[in-house]
Amino acid sequence: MRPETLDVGRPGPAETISGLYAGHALGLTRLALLMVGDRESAEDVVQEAFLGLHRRFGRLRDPEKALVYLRSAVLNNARTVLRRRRLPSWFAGTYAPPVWSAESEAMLGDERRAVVEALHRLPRRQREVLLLRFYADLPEEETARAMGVSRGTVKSTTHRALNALGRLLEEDR
Amino acid sequence: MNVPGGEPVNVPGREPVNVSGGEPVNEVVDRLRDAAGAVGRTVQHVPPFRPRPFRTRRSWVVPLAAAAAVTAVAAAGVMVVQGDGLRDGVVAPTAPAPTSAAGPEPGADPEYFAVTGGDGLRFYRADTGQRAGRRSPRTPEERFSLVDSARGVFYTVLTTGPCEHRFVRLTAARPGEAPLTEQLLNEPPRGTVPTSLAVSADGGTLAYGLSSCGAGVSAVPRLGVTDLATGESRIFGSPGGDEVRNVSVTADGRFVAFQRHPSGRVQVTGPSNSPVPTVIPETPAWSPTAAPVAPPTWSDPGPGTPTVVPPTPDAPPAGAPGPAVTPAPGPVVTGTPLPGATEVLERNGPTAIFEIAPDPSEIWVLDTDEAGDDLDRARRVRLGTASGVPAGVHGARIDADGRSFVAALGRIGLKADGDRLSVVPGTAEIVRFDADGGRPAVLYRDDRGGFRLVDADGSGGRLVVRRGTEFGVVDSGRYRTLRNFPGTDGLNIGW
Repeated sequence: MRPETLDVGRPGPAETISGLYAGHALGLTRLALLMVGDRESAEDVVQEAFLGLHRRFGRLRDPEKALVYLRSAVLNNARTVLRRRRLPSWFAGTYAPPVWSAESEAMLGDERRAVVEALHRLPRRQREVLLLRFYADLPEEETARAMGVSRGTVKSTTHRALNALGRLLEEDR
Repeated sequence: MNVPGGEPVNVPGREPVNVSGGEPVNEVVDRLRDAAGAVGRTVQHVPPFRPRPFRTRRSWVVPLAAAAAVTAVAAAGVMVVQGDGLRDGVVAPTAPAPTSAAGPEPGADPEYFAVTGGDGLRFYRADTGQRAGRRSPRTPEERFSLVDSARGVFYTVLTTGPCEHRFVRLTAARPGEAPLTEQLLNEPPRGTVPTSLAVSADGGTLAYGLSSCGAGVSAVPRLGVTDLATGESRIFGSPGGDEVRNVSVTADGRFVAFQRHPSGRVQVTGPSNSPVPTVIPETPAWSPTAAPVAPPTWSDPGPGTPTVVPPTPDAPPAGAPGPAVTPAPGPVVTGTPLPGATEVLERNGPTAIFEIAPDPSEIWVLDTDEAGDDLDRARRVRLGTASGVPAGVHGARIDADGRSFVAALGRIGLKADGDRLSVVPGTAEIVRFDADGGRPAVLYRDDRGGFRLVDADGSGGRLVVRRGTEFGVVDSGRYRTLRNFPGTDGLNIGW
């Protein structure tokens, strides 16, 4: 993937956020989809993240770190969605089956579905680190910033997560 | 990445990833990327930024800022990120979703091929042979039988019950992906089962042979042609008893070629009554160089049309070399193996050598622009083979331009040793029969054993052959293995 080119110049917050939305909303929505499993929730997660950026933009010490903020916000909002789903359904609302459910087998195929299902059997932190490192292609440093952990934690978590995912996939064979 | 606990290995395109306990982490990462990418690509666009009130002590600020953002976004138009990741800063206008008519141009390198088998429809990368996806049966009755593709779109026959079939189109979410998004198309006529399937290189025409199935249905061989743009179908029938097999179609869908096989699927002749004249030799005994290939026996009817002889179902053309296979309906000659039948040449305990009987050396061409639904108005073409040349046609098809035919020639010998199946060495050829009356051109030849021509890409330049359990591609005079499918039977391939 090409290096990130986030050139916000000196625009105002609205222009900056609009540019970020145009350039990154799709990718963030895809990431959120992988976290929460349904598109509607994923879009909400990203919308909330951008609204949160609006709220806090003036307080960002470094506006060029807005993307870091957005990634963290998407992770946090996705965690909130997943937490709510564990609560009674009247609170969580209607739960749509994840995109890798059996209903979508024709779209993904067995093998891919097995991988995503295994991914979601991992602990939350392991799942996040794998998606940020190997789906979003973030280096360790940026992954650490998005997750709010140290780089060493990213390293060790990645190692454990890959081993765990490999074991789960092996069990599925 | 330097994760303790293993040796570094290379993940293509990025930092080394360690392995632990000898486990290939690369494979895990590759599968993760592939699966996550596929899920991610189910989202092709996002809604505009839609601010809504949220609880904040300064709630009046947010709608104002959000409205400004919406204005800016609207002014910029709807943009999407190219690529999968989050770090690609390049934006591009939204592209329409691929349709059945979209996809690579005819003749472009196929990215995937599909194989039908007992466990569903599997997709493989055409360059590496790696598995890319699978559509497995959803019910015990579901089964995929035939498959072909054009411009990256796959068409297959899905059996859903006794004598219940449906054509299905499978497309990719976007170019470059394995096609797994499916759309149900038309059903073949009631009481029929597709026996062969071909789609034109332009993706506009689906052609298929039909055989009868179910009780109380007359056994009338039929050929179906469906216009994929309109969904309209034409069914051509014949009172003859031969089945329509090996259907192929020109790139524009106008001419449909097929072969007629005597009814009956497989005839196994035991060693006691088989001729067993000579054991299939270890070295080829039917060298194509021993005698020249006879020129085609049809005359050139003019440019732009298939080169065929007029219909003479009762009398083979004068001077036509090779065994006379009468295309007109009639009794099967006793002692002549049916096309595709297996003849046991030698048996010794668990070891046996078989020979696959060849197809008829005739191919029939139907001009679908002509009115009527009579299959017998198709014109017959004899693929001339003189004695001494590799005996037998194993798969023949019309070229994309309709001006020539391509066939696999040779003898297919198989040696079964217990559960192991190997190909008996022998000469195999791919020959093009051109319209100009010249000698047929040998496009490819080797001595590894006979193979069957099973498919071609849209250009007709890449020919898919099957040799034993292996599928391969003949392209520009070279053979390349696509993938081996040991221990499987009844496979059908499409690309």
